[in-house]
Amino acid sequence: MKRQRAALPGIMFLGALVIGLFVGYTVPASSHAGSTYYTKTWGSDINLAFGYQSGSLGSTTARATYNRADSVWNNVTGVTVDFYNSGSVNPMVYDTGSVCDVPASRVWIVSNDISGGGLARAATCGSNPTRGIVVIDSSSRTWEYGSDFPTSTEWDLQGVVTHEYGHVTGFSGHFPSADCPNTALQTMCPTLPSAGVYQWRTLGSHDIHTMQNAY
Amino acid sequence: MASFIVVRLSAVFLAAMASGCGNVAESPVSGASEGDGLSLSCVGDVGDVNFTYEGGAGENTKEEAAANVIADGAIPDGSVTIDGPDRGAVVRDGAAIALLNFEELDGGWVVGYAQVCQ
Repeated sequence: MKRQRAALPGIMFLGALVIGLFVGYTVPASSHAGSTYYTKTWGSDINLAFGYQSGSLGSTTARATYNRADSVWNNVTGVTVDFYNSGSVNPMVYDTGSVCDVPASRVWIVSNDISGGGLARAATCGSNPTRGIVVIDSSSRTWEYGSDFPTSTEWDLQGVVTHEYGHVTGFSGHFPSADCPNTALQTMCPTLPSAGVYQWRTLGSHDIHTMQNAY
Repeated sequence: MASFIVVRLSAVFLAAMASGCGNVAESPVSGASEGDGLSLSCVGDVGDVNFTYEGGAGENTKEEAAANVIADGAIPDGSVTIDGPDRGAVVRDGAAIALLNFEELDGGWVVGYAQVCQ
């Protein structure tokens, strides 16, 4: 009897562990509350225009890529996103300004050498952001700017821009590692695993339901 | 004693951050001894700038992290000063034009958010 009692906590622990493993593999759609992962920043329609630099990031090829990136967000059912090409080259005069000086409802796509090894970053102004910049790494990294799938040595601009657009529309962070066993499968996971990976071009189930939960 | 001073300086800086850039705040900066008169006047409140980072580690130093987001155009240009373990400022003409909050990212440093004051 004493032995049975002593074993009871261990059995309960193992049971909880098994249940936890099963639960852990199935993340319910309702788990990504908008209040946690996505700050609802727009009343109803998201309306952002992007501008770009001259050079590679402003090429016809790259601009077509931005259009493909915005279309995946525009197509989320139940959320009205209008993310479109402003048709203008952004004025790169920032000596005295900041991202808060970007015109309202605009996102500038710019390049910078991100020496720490990062792919990209996004900056938004204010707790209710309607203006931002997307920074693409301009170090020696090789990008696939167009619609072709990247080779094993090329990084996918379309997928990375799709991810950054998520941030400027309202994703304030990334999904936790528990929800990203394969970080390529959800666009808003924290890290694109390697060059040659293009899955961020397509939203994953977590990306979609999180945005829908917010709106 | 040293710990006490660090705590006190951090408290002053945190109070300045909490009060918002719209208020004039006095905040000792890195390299300055308490009472040497060096202070930051943060006038105006343009807005908070939030950053997200994809891939790679942060920069080796906080100064490099600040310089990088300045080069982005995300925050105004000026000299960078560090105050405490995770705070800093961009200073121009003796006045803070942005207050910085640093975060660690994979062993490096990034600017997590900034408060633009001018």
